[in-house]
Amino acid sequence: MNWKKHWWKILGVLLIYFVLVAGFLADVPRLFILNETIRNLFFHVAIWFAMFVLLIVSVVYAIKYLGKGNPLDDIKSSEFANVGIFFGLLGILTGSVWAKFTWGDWWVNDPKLNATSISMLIYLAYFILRASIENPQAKGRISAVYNIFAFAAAIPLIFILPRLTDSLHPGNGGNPGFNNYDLDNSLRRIFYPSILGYTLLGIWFAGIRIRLQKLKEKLNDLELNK
Amino acid sequence: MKKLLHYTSILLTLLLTSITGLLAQVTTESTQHVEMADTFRSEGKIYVVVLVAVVLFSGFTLFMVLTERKIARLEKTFKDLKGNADK
Amino acid sequence: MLLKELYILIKKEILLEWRQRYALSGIVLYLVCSVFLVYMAFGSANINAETWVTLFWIVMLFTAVNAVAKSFIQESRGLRLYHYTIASPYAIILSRMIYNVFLLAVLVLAGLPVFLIVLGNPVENLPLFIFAAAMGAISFATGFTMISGIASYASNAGTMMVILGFPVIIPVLLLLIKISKAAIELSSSGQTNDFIWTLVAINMITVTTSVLLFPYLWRAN
Repeated sequence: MNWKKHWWKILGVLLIYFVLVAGFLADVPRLFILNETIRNLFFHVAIWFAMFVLLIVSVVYAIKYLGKGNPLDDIKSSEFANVGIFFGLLGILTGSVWAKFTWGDWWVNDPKLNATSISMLIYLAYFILRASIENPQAKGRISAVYNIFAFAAAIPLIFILPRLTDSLHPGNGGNPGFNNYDLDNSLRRIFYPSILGYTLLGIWFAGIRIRLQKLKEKLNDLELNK
Repeated sequence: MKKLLHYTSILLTLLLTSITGLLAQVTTESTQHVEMADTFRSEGKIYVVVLVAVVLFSGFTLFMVLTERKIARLEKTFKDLKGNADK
Repeated sequence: MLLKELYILIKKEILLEWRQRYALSGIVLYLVCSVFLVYMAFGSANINAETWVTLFWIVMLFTAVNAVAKSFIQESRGLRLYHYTIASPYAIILSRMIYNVFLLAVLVLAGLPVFLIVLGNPVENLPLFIFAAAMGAISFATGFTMISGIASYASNAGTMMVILGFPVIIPVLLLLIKISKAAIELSSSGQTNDFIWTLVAINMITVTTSVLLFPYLWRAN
């Protein structure tokens, strides 16, 4: 067991164990509407943050690929987007369940929800684009361009539009908020490790998928060279 | 012991604030009682929730570790193959 | 040098279009048909202001997609290679964007009267609405030109254009609808300035990213 190689994966797992135990047992502020579900901060919200980190990594590798043309960067960019979207889907599902219990409906007309569904659509379009181009270099190049373009044009809006309008989400439009003075230290102590834990797990997933992809390519090369 | 202290202090604060609220005829949101899962917890059921979550996550971690090992073995096979081909 | 290239390229696009007005007439026909379809669908029932605005922007959106799709997608491979050899990528993308802005401005500002005549006029603050329409034309043009470039390399370019373009343009569309709603006095105008500035900011980001990224796309030729 090579500790130097795997320490961060173990850290990720340990962090999530910590969050699972502390998240349920620790004391939380007593707020209206949310009641006990404020604990979802450690799960649902943390997953969104982790997703965002993974998507940023995807964009970074896309930029690197355009710069150097190393096919490995393209694989990394697409697999991080893959795992990012998987986390996003989990975020939407958990958010939906949370919404049903606090707002009364599985889906509501809320800017943050709209923004997240738009980003899901954008990345789904990214995967369709990749699937529709045959030539590997063109595939990598064009999907990298779209990745960066879509990220720059639309993702920042997820953070801007909800602030401009009313929203059911905590922190906007009159709900007890998760803003600075409400997010007290008792919550922060578990919330930040949770984000880190999920991010590390996400990187682990992506890493496995990337290695799998590399193996597939090596197999292809071997078959071609026979 | 610390938990018990915590809970009693919260209950006491709530009790005191609600009494003063009634006396002063001023009601603010902090004097109202927010429903939380206190009875649920006091019956020890919260530990069941934690246990379930921990078990599920352990299963998932086990799966990840097994996959990791499988891929490491595959990578090693490829390396050996490549080493043989280069010879 | 860049300015000269730009000027020549834009002039060429306008000339080509003016000689055989295929694209322009096709799109104008599309626009008129869509408006007519809306009119038929709603009949003599009075459309309320909110529906009017939404319909206007939906029709404009589809018209814009059709209009801008022509920039890169309907270009043959040989012609694209030729352009690759004679002009810099910055000139190509900027000239197409500017041309599309003009094209869409013409279409939107022509479509607005058509809408007003056929479907009635709920617009209280007409200058603001015309401003919103102009901003819409610019936003659609800048956004879709780049998407059109990306889509042209995919196998099913027309569909790809829609798949790639719509999610990216939805935030812009939301802002445009909010500004338009202020123009028909349906919502408070306090936030309208915020929306307008956000729209301007998005446009600037879109243009900058497009110009930065297009050379990489162009190299795939």
